[in-house]
Amino acid sequence: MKGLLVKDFRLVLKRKQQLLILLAVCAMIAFTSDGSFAVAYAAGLAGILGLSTYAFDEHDNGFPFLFSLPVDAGTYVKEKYLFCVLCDLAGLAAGTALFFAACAANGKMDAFRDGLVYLPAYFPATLVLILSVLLVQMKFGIERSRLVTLLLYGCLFVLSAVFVKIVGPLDGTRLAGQLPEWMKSDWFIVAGIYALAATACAVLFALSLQVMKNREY
Amino acid sequence: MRLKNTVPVIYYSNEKHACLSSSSANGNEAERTEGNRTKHPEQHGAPMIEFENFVKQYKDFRLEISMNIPDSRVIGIIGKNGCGKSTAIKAILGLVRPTSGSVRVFGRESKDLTPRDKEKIGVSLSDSMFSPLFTVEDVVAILRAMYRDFDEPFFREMCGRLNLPSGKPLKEFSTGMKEKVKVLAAVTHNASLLILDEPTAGLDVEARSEIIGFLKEYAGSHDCTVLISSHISADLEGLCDEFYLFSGGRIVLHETDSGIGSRYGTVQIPFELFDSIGRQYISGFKKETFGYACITNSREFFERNYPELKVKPAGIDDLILLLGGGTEE
Repeated sequence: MKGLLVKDFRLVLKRKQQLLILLAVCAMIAFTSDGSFAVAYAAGLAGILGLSTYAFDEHDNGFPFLFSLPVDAGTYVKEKYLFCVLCDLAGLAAGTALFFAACAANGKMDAFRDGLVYLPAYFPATLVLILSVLLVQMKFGIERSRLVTLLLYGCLFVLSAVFVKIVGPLDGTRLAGQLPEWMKSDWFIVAGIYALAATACAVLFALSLQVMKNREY
Repeated sequence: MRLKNTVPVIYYSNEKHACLSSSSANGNEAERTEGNRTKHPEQHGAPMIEFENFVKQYKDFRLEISMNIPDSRVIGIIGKNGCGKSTAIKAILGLVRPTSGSVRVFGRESKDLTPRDKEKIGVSLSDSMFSPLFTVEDVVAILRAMYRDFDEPFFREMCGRLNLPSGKPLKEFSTGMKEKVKVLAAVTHNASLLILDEPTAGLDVEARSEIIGFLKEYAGSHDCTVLISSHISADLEGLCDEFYLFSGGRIVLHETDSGIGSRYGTVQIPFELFDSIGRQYISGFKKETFGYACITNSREFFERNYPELKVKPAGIDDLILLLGGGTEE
């Protein structure tokens, strides 16, 4: 696990220029537009950066060598998940810091205080998205995964459109109004998002493990 | 056309070790020493790797082998490209799974090898290595974190000796330099099993000589099993104790280095004489303009009974050519 983490950190650090560009874009977003969007943007991009280490592992037929090292499928999947979590958290922290700086510079500290309630929800949301893409990449390989991901999101879009056509648009405010009072707190909603995300991550992890255990090189 | 598909004769004569041993010089066969390798002959019986009725079926290729690789031997897997050498090596590492049969390493199914088991295996694969973005410094950091027994000073010393720059990305290395990094990574963590798949493929003479020289030095001074595949015979001669010749997904020959040297030979037999010679003396043959180019595992028989025929000791190339699927009737 330690060796894989070292490998992935070094792979990410090989792309210092990209990292700096990402930070600059996030800073620009934070200072010029909706600051809280910069947090989601940074978390998402940092997660994608972590995800890209999988592509490097697969590149140039790298897996046979990787799995000849003291690594098994279980260790590999655990490390990749941990690394994506760390990248996502780092992105969230960097985005939050930029958001704070922008709010302080623009004298909008109230916006930052309000944001502290929902900003943590960006982490599980982006993480589930990234880990689902990772699963598709593990299953289909980098090349085919692009097409599969596109198809999956296309299907989701069509299904949502059909759902809205049949049931009608969901009125979030009306639905929230029907909830009991104790469920209406922001913290409860964030906790709910974390619980849902944890369940989704557990399912994705089990599927990823199965895929990697059955792979041949 | 091959006359025999398999030669299931296993000789563990250990003559190569014996000739380097002071004890064997006076006829004492109980202990044989080569460098740091001290082994009782019977100790070579414990299998390090066992292929038991192993079959891997692909759409257009079938690998079907059974072999036992004992402890502390240098084993050469030879054969033409596409004969199944790399698939066998991947099976040992659990990278491909058997369609039927089994492959065990250290007594454990290869697919169940733990990271701890893999720390005892050093591997250099022909077509796969570290990310080309990494430098030798990155490789050192990764190996340090991967292996508890990583010998960093030795790795760095060897990088210096082999002129491998530490700060240059591997993608800027020549093929020979990349092979050296791969072999170094395989031999610097005290592995008890070394698996080298075509470590000299595509290299110039100088790089090949450096790598083979280093491997000979390593194999002579470490108590480990070495499994090396190659289709370049010169690389393996004088390095390996035993050879497995693969052809078309099967083992067509298993022989010791000394066995090949002492018993195998090539014979040129004219057409009119060919049918009169018992086929049990001819392991493989190829029709040529003058008659048949044959390989025999009874060189002495021809030398004694057919002094008029041109009989020469067989080399590994002859085995590959005449037993390894290159024959035709």
